[in-house]
Amino acid sequence: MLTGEVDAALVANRTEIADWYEKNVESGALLDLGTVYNDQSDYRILASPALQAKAPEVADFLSRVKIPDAVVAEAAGRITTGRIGVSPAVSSQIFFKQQEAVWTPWVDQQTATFVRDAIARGENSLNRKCIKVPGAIGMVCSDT
Amino acid sequence: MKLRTLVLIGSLFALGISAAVACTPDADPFAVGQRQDERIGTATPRPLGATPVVVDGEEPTVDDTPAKGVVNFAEVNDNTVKIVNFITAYVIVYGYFYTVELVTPAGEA
Repeated sequence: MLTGEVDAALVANRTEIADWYEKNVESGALLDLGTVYNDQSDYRILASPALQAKAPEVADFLSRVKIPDAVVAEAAGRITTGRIGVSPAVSSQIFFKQQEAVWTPWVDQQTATFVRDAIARGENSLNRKCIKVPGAIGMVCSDT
Repeated sequence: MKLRTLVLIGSLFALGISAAVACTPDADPFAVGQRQDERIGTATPRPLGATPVVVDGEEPTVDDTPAKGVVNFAEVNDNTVKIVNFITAYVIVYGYFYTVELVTPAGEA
């Protein structure tokens, strides 16, 4: 993060990096945006100041993300590997459909609508260049 | 006993030859009897491009909002990190229209 390779780490254990964490958060080289768990959790959302500068709405959003421990454990527990495994993408879709009360408070109504629309379209990738076309099999992807 | 083994090996060899002949690239496994006359064309490959093709007159769902920028998340081989990353990234991609890349920091691969 300090080198600009990544903008944020969402589940950083500050006890494992105590000295590094204290030094860089105190100096402002890193931002502590809170935690996805309860406020006292040692698992922190760390972000670079560059994220705040280039995507302030993203930094603001990350500071509002809260997921109950049990819900995170259930969603993470669904992930399996192998040919018929459950990917994070599939587990996330289940989360979004079953846990609206958890994720909708993170965002405003319009953003929630955008996310619901994406789920309804069957978007299960982080690549928006792939779009679902009614009547076509699978996704149509841009080659640009 | 040897005769039975020879017969078995011979049968398997004949079966293999039959399968190989039947499954040549030019063979149409459905071209039998009446079906042979019905299958007169092959599907035309449809290239993938930025513009989706409308199928059966339906309006395509096009998500053409340009991304506002790229956000990189640190990804490690841990299911909790993976699911938290994906859930938040999904909202950022489809709700805020940024591109999110999950980056494995050096030394974490």
